[in-house]
Amino acid sequence: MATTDDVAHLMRRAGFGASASKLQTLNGLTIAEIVDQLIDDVVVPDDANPPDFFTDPNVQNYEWEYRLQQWWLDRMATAPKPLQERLAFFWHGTLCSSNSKVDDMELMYAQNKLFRDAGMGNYRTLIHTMALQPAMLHYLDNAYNVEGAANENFARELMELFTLGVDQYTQADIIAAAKAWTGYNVDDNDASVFVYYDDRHDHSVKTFMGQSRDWSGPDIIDFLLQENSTTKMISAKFIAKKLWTFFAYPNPDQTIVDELAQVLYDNDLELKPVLRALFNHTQFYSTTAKQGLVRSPVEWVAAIIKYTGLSASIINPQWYMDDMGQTLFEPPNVAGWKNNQYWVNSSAMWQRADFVGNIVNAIFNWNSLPNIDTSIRDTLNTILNGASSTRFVDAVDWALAKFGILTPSTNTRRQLVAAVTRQYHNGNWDERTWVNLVTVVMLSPEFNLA
Amino acid sequence: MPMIIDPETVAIRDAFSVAETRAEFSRRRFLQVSAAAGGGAALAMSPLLSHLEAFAAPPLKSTDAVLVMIMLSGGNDSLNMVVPHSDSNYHALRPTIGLHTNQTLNINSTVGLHPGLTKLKHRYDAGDVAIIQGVGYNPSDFSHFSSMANWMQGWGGANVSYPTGWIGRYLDGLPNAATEALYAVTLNTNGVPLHLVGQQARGSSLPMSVGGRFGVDRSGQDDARLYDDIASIAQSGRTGLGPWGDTIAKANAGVLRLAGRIAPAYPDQSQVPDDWFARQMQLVGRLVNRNLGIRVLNVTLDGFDTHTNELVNHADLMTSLDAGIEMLFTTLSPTWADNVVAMTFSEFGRRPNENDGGGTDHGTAASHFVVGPRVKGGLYGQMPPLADAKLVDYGNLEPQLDYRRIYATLLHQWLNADDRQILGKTYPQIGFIESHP
Repeated sequence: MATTDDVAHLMRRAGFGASASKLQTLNGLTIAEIVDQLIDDVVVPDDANPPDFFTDPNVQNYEWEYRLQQWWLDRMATAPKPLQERLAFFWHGTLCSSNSKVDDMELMYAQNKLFRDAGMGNYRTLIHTMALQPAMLHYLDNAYNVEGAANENFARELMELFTLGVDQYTQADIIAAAKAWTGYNVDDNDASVFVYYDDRHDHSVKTFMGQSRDWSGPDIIDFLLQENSTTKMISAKFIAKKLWTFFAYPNPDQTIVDELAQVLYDNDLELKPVLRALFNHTQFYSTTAKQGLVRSPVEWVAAIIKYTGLSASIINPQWYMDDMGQTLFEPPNVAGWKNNQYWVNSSAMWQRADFVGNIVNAIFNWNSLPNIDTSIRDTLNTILNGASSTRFVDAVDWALAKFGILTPSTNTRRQLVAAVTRQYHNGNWDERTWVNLVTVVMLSPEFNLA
Repeated sequence: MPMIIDPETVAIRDAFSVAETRAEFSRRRFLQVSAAAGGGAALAMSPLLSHLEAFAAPPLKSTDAVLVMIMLSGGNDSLNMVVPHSDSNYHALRPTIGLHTNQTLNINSTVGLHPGLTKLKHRYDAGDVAIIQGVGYNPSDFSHFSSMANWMQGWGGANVSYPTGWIGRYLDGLPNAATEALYAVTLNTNGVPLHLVGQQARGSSLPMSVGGRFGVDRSGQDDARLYDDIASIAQSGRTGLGPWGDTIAKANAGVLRLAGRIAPAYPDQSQVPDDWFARQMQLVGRLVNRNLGIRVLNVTLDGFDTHTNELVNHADLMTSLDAGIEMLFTTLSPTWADNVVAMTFSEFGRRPNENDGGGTDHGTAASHFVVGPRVKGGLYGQMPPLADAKLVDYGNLEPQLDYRRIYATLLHQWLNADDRQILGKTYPQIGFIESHP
């Protein structure tokens, strides 16, 4: 049977964390059983329609981007199938498009929906669909890639960043693939719609990876991910490594990559089997894995929403996240976000501290806001004002557990107890005691690790 | 492709921007060690990371030099920045986006600046701008990431097991390199870019504003206590949560120390220009004026990946570049203005022939600027020939001058450093530095 620590780790990585009560319901199950639940549970799709605000006449177009950021962050924190949101987030940072260039949130939402609906399906199918969605056509300029002066942007990144990895192809391959993708454009009269213009496609015989044919764009994907077993395996390794890096830790041993890649390859690039292998892997539960990732700003904010019960529309994280280094629908470039060291620098951590300072002071203390869950404040006040001789320790343990930290380090727990005790003995016993406690918990190393 | 960089994609990406701490590299070595030891070597190495403790560099003397690095991110189309305006090949390659003799700010009968660079042209006329043409390296690399990694590393020596940046290696030679986090800073980047990372030294990333920010005001007792509570988690140096747990704790403590130190350099909101790049350059000037001991400052102007609609997009970028450079030198106090040189760099230039989207694809060589009162202005290097027969690598410019020659010049003549040791090889210097402070 699984340890609580293992289950909590799994739920943090395969989702955005689990409450103590959720962990209780998983008690007695094996890891394999929980993984099956995470992957196989059918959840009634509750997002068959786009979010309401797209059709709300009171919401202006310019508000769509931050509204969709809020919508997705809330969904990460509360959706019944968190692994689905995790995978959507993985693909958003892997098959990147940015609204800074696409400039159309309905197209960005369509891509987001694809990553949600198909993110646990087949990798090759996902690449095919993604390639022809207008968000990607605009982001990597294939929208205007036509015979005569082929635009290489999409052709290059398809191979460098979406399938093979750098150095697995030549510049001649890029040029041939760019020609193959000519004509896969957007409608002259409606740039939000994909159209294939046969008369703008370069029908010449092109030599791609040693094969001379009249390649079409989708032919390139089929060659890389189906027809040619070498490139198919290279791509399987490329994506397996990205998955392990995203869910477990960066720079894995090649044996782990090879093992997962083989699962992908043997299942014709279906993603569920490789996810099952990943979450059941013994190394996934190693100390290296448990200590191996820093929560990205999106993961950290989603956890705050989850554990405080304060929705994104109340705490408005979207105005802070750019300076934390991660804005949804705005990856910094086509290579997406990186990890760990990328999040731990002075300006980014400073912004996390600012955000926590503001939500704790402005929101928890703000009685006039409707529908605010005040249970954190009330419970901590009750414990701290109680008669128990262990009330400082109890308050610290309760606050840590409330934020999903069931096994805090000795160091953190000791310093938090010391801080609460200090506050008491300085005769300054008021609301600031729990405010400071909750602030430090959200900034603690435990809460900032994934 | 040159094998000076780790050929693994992820490693290149990781190297592109790294922490202020050595955790990632330590971690990699840990994984290598623990793999060699059968996986159990655990976290005995966690040599973390005293340098966030410091956040203070020794102040500059009047004879010290400062370098401002302007990263033109995305691959600047320098053929439309330093324009061969009278070359018929240029106009044949660029029928719609080419700039004509009557549009450019002409330096001579063959070369002119983009019309948006009016203030820079004044500085050129005053002899303060070196234009270095045809800068690149062989063989060219058309990937944003590995090409930028090359520029950031600036390494010409034998293969290395993990990459460091050329400025980072320069900082390694300064006193207490491992503990002085303000020797080099970066604005407006996520993480610290590779060029500011050495074996020991590491730059810091600073935010664009600090007004009302966490940790700046310690006048309230409860606030001060909160800040001390947060710092207390890092007190022992070991959180028991592994290298990243330690790093997070130290970074939080470091933020609180940093806050008090840099806050006075930040301008009132009313003084801040609208243009994002000019804002960065204003802050650079103010940070230099405060003399916090910063030797190198990195800023970013993003958006140069102009595959489409270049005529409009690139013109906006040139206007920003012009305004930003002007902002820097007008913000600098007379005490420091003569001690500052600014340089541009970018991952590559762009393809000479325009595409059907009115843009250009990834290319090779490019022109770059070095600007400052102590620069010996003029044209250096050569514009690569644009005749069809002279183009290389599928219609691209042939690099005329290795980018590390610029670095060698700045290291030796401006920063008084050992260029050969830092670059791994001797590169011929270029005479664009007129005098040292």
